[in-house]
Amino acid sequence: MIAKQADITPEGTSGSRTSAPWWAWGCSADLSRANIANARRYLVLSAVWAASLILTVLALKVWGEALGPVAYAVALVPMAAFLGVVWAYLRFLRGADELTRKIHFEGMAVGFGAGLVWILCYPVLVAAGAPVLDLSHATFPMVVGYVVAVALGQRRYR
Amino acid sequence: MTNRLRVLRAEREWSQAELAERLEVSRQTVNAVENGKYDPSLPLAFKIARLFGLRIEEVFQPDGDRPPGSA
Repeated sequence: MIAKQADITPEGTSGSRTSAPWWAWGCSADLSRANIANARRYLVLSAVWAASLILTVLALKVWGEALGPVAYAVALVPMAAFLGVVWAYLRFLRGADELTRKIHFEGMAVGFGAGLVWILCYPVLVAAGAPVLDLSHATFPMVVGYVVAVALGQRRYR
Repeated sequence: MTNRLRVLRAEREWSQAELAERLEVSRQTVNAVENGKYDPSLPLAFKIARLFGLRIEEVFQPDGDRPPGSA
């Protein structure tokens, strides 16, 4: 049966196509020039977020007590940076080919499922003696699940 | 779902990249559709049919049915 397209208008899908650069991992083998820009923006903002997270954690460890209530505002900086990542990723998906979108959506579904399984099952491991971990550790299986699923998807439709 | 995309493309001597350019999708998508690994969305299926001047059912057929004009 023919699948129905999601209500997303592709942006940046016109224009000449070129091979995806080496850093555009997870993208279709050929991208429109506009979507290479979208992919680049996504990667740059991801790097900015990662840097902000590291710097914020370090700053709070060193100056946390001195900052007082301002520490809460500082702690929100990585969150604001990550909103930029989400925005950039949405732009990338909107400009992407429908098959690339399908691969990434399936990747997100697998990543979400992996994180959920971790959250639901790890307390059982804790009951069996495993160390108690912070909930943020669930992001690790989420990211791994997403990355593996996108890689397998790209391979499947190669 | 079966399709005649490869045959129609070959009749016009288009490469997969050329067809992808005309359809505004990636070559990967064209390849996946031709090999039956991926069923295109409805708008893309209409675009494909319109590009070849055919009706959708002359390009795509449910599994098990032969498209009209196929060997």
